[in-house]
Amino acid sequence: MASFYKSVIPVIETDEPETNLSHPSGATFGLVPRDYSTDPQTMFAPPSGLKIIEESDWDAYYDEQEAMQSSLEHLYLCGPNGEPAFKNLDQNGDGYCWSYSTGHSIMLDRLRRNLPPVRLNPHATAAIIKKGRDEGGWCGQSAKFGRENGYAVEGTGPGQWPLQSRNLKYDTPELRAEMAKYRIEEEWVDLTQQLYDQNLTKAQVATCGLTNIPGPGDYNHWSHSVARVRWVRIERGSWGQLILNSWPNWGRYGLGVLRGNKAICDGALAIRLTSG
Amino acid sequence: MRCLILTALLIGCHCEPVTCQDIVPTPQIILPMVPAVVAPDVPPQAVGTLKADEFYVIESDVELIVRQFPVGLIDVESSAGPIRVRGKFSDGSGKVETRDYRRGYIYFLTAVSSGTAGVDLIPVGVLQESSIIRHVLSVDGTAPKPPPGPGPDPTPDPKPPQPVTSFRAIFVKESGDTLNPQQTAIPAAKAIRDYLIAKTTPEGGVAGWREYDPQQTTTNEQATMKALWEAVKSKLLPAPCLVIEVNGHATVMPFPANVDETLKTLKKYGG
Repeated sequence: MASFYKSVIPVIETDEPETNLSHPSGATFGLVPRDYSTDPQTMFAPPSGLKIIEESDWDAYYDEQEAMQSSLEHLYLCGPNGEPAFKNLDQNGDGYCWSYSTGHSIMLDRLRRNLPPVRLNPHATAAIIKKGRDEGGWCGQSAKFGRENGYAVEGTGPGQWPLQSRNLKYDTPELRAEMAKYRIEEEWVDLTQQLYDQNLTKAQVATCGLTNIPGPGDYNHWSHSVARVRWVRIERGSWGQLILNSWPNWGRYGLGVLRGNKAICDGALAIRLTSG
Repeated sequence: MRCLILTALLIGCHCEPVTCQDIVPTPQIILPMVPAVVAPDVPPQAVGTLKADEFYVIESDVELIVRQFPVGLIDVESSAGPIRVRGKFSDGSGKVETRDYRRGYIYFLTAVSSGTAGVDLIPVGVLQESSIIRHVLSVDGTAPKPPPGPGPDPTPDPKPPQPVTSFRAIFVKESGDTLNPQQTAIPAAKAIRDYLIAKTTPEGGVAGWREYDPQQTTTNEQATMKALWEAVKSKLLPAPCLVIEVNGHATVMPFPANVDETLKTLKKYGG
């Protein structure tokens, strides 16, 4: 039986068997774990500048966020009656989760900064990288593309990419010019470099989650990549990763919590700064 | 037509549009003019000096951001028009006069210290850089010698508070810095967001506040926020810090310690 965070956001548990929650009928995934021989550690800025929040301080940060309603979870659910600031994106049957996790993260960063809202279309990024094929990947590929080229806006106007299309005819100079407006600007941190042990990785992910730094996270056990939103206390002493999924009508407005070992991601980036 | 003539006049007298592009109509912005008393074919020029006891009054039918460089030579206050004002004026006779200013936005520039000051008049929501008027003022902030006789009134009337016609805030935080829990909650805390949404000047439907990195690029930003960031980014304090703009005057200050202090600071400026 599924448990819930704050009574409404479903929790994917460590020891529970595969359920309709983690593998609902018709859902597509698309994660292909990072290949360190082709994507070496040095392709990303190191996390050495990240001042870690020690586990003993997690409660203080979380309690302050709850008291002030200041977390990315609160920002996302800031609409009337707790509705989301934007409807979560839908990868719609293609194995492009690894691009949606980054796209969602850019949108969350813009939300945090109160930049004019924009609905991105991660299908453009994945389709261009994969030359129109429906293929899996890992979040670093889309983030690297987002840093170099930006992300497309969803739409049918000039310079936009139609919803869930893989047709490369839309890859025009106008599209590239518009994409460049929504780039990942500042170096970002690869939170799972092999230099670091699993505890440090968990601490890095928690620190980002407690300081409103979103980012994509790859979960090999799930064959899925999702946006990391917040590091949450499910119960006293029990922590989990609040994620935003790219499946429609899933969880609470796309939100769910990964708990225990399922919260440990195998590839993660921190989207520290996007174009204003 | 008047605005075109004005633009031409400004080019000839220390006032220079930032670019030569002038595709959209320039809003009506009127600077004090020196009367043409010598030859009728010599166009009037905008007044280029500001003395300590004078008002330099700019009228506009659109809201402006008044940006000065360097900062500190001039004090800028704004008021909604029409308004009646009694005082000495930079384009006046040197004596106290009473004047009526009838346009919607009135800006009073007064001297604080001496030097040469550049002033940019940036219409809010500006789409073309050519709509920005740049003017250079020689500012004499030396207080005039008191006239013989009784000294100044020891209890002058306090300056009435000016209405807030534009109000924006930028919270500058180094991306990736780990602040303490109290400062991490700024500006995302609901009380701050609610206040900022209610009080700041929106543009394109977006409230007039942002959280920026010190290296934030604003290529796609809305015009006013972009202009504000361009004006202040070289004057920032070490991050984190806070920028508050009221009526075209931006102030850079240390980052508040917590949510309560943030709200007190914001309310002090934005009401």
